Amino acid sequence: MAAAQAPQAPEGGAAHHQAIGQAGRAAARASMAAPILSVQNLKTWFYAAAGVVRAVDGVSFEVRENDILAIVGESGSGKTVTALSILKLVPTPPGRYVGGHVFVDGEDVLSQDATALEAVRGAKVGMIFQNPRGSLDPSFTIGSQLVETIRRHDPVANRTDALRRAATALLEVGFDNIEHVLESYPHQLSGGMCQRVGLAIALACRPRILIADEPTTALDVGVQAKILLLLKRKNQDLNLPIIVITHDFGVVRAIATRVAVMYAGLIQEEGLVDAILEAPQHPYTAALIQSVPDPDTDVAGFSAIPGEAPDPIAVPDGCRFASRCERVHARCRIELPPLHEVADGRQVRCHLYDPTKGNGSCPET
Amino acid sequence: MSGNLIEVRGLKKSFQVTRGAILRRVVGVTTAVDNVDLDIKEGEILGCVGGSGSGKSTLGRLILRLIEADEGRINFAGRELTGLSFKQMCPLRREMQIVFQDPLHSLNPRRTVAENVERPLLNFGVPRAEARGRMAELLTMVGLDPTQSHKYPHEYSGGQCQRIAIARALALRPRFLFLDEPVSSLDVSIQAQILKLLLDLQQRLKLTFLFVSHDLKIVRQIAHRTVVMYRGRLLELGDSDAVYRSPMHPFTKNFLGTVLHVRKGGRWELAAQRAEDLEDLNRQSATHAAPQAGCVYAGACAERFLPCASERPPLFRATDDRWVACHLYRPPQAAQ
Ligand SMILES: Nc1ncnc2c1ncn2[C@@H]1O[C@H](COP(=O)(O)OP(=O)(O)OP(=O)(O)O)[C@@H](O)[C@H]1O
Ligand SMILES: Nc1ncnc2c1ncn2[C@@H]1O[C@H](COP(=O)(O)OP(=O)(O)O)[C@@H](O)[C@H]1O
Ligand code: SF4
Ligand code: SF4
Ligand SMILES: [Mg+2]
Ligand SMILES: [Mg+2]
Repeated sequence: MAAAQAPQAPEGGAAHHQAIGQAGRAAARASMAAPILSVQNLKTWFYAAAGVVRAVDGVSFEVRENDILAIVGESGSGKTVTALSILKLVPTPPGRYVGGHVFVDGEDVLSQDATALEAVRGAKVGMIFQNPRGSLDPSFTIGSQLVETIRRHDPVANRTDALRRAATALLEVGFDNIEHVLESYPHQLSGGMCQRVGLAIALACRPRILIADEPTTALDVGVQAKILLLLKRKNQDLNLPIIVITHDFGVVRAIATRVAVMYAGLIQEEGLVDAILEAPQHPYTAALIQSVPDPDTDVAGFSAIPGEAPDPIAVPDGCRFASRCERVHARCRIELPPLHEVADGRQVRCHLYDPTKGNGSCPET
Repeated sequence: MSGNLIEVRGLKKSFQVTRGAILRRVVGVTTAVDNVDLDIKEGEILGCVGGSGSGKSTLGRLILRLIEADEGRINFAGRELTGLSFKQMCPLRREMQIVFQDPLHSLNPRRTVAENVERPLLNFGVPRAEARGRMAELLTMVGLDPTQSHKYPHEYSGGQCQRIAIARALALRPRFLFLDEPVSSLDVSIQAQILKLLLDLQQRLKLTFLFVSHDLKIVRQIAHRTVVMYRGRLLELGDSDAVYRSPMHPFTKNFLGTVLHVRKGGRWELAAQRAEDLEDLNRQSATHAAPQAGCVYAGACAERFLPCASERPPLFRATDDRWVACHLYRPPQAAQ
């Protein structure tokens, strides 16, 4: 597992383990530093006509320099709402921050007013939104949006400076016809291009931490590789911590150092990437990884996790995965399992890992 | 499965980007779709794959006449679409519908799900009561509960929203659906559900699909035939499984065949786990200035040879059912 391999030769014979080695070392080094982002028992609910949607229902995690944290989970599990909450961008109403805290660089974001938030958004926390075109202003060219954003966050930059930085940012995200892109309006670019422009804008503000919600979904594998490399390089060169929200285990595998698995508004498992991908412990994580399609099978042969996620308006009392879990037992339906620490930095929200009952071998009564 | 529902000939579309309000200087011209000939058979799912910006969405939008072509002809069910006025297109619009990658793009967030699905019916003069009944039918057909249709789209998950968008697209009983990356923003387990739903609907309602994606793996799972696009041109066309398993065009082989990672037989295969692999992919996808003449892929092609720089290869028939736009597949008799 990564933690064990981490100190091994970053150069030489084990060169092909470089990525893993770096990830491991990063994690080791990072554990000393203070977190740049700390989310503590965050609860963001929506008050809809039909009832209360507990979209995020007690989520905690920390992100330090050098971390690339992947948040994975099925659609509707609360990943995007978690990200939006960090920037206090959830529409209220119908949303409401029901509990918990978000600290960015020690500042309590959820208690800040509109002006203070301006400084947090973009400058401190860069965000790439899931819907690439929707996050761009349709009535301005890409160039003027980039220049405007750069100057808003860095008032000393003059127009020429800003334009140069804008061009560099576009170059970095893989465009070669820079002038063309600068003069284009969002509707003149393809979906994949808009997604890259979003990333260029986020990076041009030089944030302290970057949150990317599905940053490569609209991209072909070549551009994906380019973007993932760029994110990895920014992370290493600038000590820029990154949260990537994704449903693609290829992305997780390629760049993440840690993974948090969300289901029904809660983190179910968290730990180092190799540990989780190779040996998932939570039954949900295991099922999720199992459902990654083998490229040679047909749609008919897909093993989607049977059953449906619980109705977010009527979440069950016990474990939220109980209705679909193969190892469900009596206790699961009554008692919500806490996050059990099963190894260094590895946490699992499942009764099977209750230390008072012995790891993974809880009597399934 | 007889005959072609759609025939496209010599289709071409360029876009200009200009700068300056008065002296409009052209800073770039993109040929999004370049001289495309394509037949879509009645009752088939034709997959279309290609990199970002290769012209997939533009091709679909041209076929639906959501944008105007510069050159070329489109024939739909025996009718020439080119030159039809907006009014003449109206009855045909019922027969051709579109589903976007982002389901919220096709839905109005301020209307309930019921209103969203009924909208196209009301637009075409279906009485309200009948539209209501049809809406319930449609939602049931895509696996949703019509008694919940008073909810708003954002109260549904991404996968459910895509089901609603599909129901809406099917409201007018179209014959042809252009699906533009309909599952790309969904996670794998939900992707599978939506693909299954689409397959089922296609067979039951005898629909014809143009299914666009940047991911050959996905297209292969649903499409009968697949066409590969690059810089507005068709590079390869054939049976989906065959294109996936034994790609012939150097672009398909080098680029689309690559995946970030795969999970085979329960093990992770390290297709591109390492930084070097990413570098490698990165190099392969590096864009080169569009060549004036010759093969559009010549700038990045490892198998480039003499004729590639000067002659643009048309689609050669490489095997019974495979067409490849590459000089490597020039039939011997056509050589010299
Ligand atoms: N209205 C427009 N004005 C100018 N250029 C345009 C316009 N629409 C598309 N283009 C250009 O045409 C090219 C093809 O775009 P298209 O949207 O068809 O790509 P795509 O294959 O769908 O890509 P993606 O996978 O990223 O969605 C791009 O270079 C794009 O910038
Ligand atoms: N504006 C909103 N109003 C009501 N419910 C919402 C809103 N935004 C999100 N939700 C609900 O919150 C839950 C989590 O959504 P989200 O965070 O977007 O999931 P994902 O993990 O796919 O990003 C879902 O049940 C969703 O329907
Ligand atoms: S707590 Fe019970 S139901 Fe939940 S994941 Fe563990 S075994 Fe399954
Ligand atoms: S025509 Fe030549 S350059 Fe083009 S793909 Fe074939 S071998 Fe490569
Ligand atoms: Mg989301
Ligand atoms: Mg597109």
